[in-house]
Amino acid sequence: MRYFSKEGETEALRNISFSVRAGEFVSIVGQSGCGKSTLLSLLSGLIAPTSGEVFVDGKKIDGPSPLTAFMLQQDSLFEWRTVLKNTMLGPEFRGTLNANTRKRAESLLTSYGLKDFMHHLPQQLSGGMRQRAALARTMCSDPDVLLLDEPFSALDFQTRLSIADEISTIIRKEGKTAVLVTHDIGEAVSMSDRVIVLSSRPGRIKAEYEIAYPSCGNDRPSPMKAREAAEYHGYFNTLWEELDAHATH
Amino acid sequence: MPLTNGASTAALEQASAASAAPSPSPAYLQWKRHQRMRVWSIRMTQFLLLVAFLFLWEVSARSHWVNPMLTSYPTAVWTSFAQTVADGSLWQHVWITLIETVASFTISMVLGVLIAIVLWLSPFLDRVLDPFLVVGNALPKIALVPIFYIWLGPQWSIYGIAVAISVFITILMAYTGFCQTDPNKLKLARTFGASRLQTLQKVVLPSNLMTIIAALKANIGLALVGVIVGEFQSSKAGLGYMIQYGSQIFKMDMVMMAIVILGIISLALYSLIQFAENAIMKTRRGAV
Repeated sequence: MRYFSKEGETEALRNISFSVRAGEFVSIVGQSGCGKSTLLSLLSGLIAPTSGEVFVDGKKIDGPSPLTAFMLQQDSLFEWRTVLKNTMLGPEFRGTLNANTRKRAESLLTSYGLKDFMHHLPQQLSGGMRQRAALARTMCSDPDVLLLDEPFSALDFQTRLSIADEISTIIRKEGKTAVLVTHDIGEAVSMSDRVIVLSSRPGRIKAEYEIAYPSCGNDRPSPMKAREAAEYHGYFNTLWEELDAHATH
Repeated sequence: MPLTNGASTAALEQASAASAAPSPSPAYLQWKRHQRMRVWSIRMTQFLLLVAFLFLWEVSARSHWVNPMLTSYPTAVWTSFAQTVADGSLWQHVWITLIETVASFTISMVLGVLIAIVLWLSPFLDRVLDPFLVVGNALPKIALVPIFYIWLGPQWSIYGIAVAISVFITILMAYTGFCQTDPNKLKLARTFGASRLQTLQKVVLPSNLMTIIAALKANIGLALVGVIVGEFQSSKAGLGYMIQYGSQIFKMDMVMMAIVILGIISLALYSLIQFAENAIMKTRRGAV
């Protein structure tokens, strides 16, 4: 992937090739400026690769597709719309707004603990609640793949941990495939099944780690529990060194 | 003056919103009393300032410190007011100026926002038209008065000049606002596959409601300037005509009265917009 500007061209990503299994949670970590966010934009169809292809469910991506949904760093809730109307933005833009999508939005908000806040405006909600509303908005268009672009980085530390916990539990429960971009190693290790490390610009796949927590039994532990699991620190240190090695280059 | 008005009503609103909290502490009540006193003393000072000014004006004209032929004085202005009210001519003039102002204001608002929308929808057109808009905005529109008079005739030239004066500021303010729409919201809309028109309708316009109201405020004053200048040139009626005619026959009472009424009209129109703004702000803050 190359970006063109008057000053010249920038190669943001090179030779990136990976696939994500249905229902898998993959994190992409790397130094800032390594092209993590570019990668997500490519997956979502927001930008077209200068060379190469992206497939979701076997369909080639050539524009923003209803198969994928983005969750951004800022919740970007529209302050002039109620939480419910914010949630229904996806179907509204895609022209599929009807009684069913409305019901879906309501049930999503209910299950995310926002039942009593449906008709409130976003500015009346706390940071964590806003992020859950943003998740409801993402989920409302019923995507197969969730693209998470550092969705928790704007929150304070404590809220971040608990929201990451809630949201990853929700994503796993609904059986969604997720690709998370983050620079927070702990977040990546505790939430994902696999972590992909990108090298600095132009971003290439430097390493891949399967994350598993056999000590927690067959069920995948929630991120909170994972942080206490025996395997956590091993993964954390490996990734830390992997990223640190790049910084010294 | 409108600025202090806005500030003090905001303070009052805050106070009344907070008073809904259960059992206010004595310190809070004290603070509230202090706030009320402050608002009251501002109002009083404003009033006294006005009275002092009128008094000084009256006295200096009557004692011939200044030539009353040139300055007129408040009681004479009042007499002139009473006369024109009695013969019914004042309302006609006020009505004509008001109609012209509101009409030109509406036209330039609609036209300005429409042009801003077109520019936002077509970045190509924006790049093409940019230098023309810059010149159009910088050009002193007063210079166009004779041209409008010749082209549009005595009646329509008033609208022409008022629209010409106020439309550019609307275009520039609205368009600048459109371009400063939160990029995250725009990105979000794009991830949902929103078309440019949908983005405009559901993201850009609602984001810029406040910008458009700010443009309204700038616009109302400019529309009034345009109407008065237009009336100077061509009109047989209206407050601009009264001023022009009064100064030609050296009736300063009439001139001063027309100016005072203009002041009242502009304050009233501005307050109307301010009122609308407050109402919208309230709904947006979720106070309904």
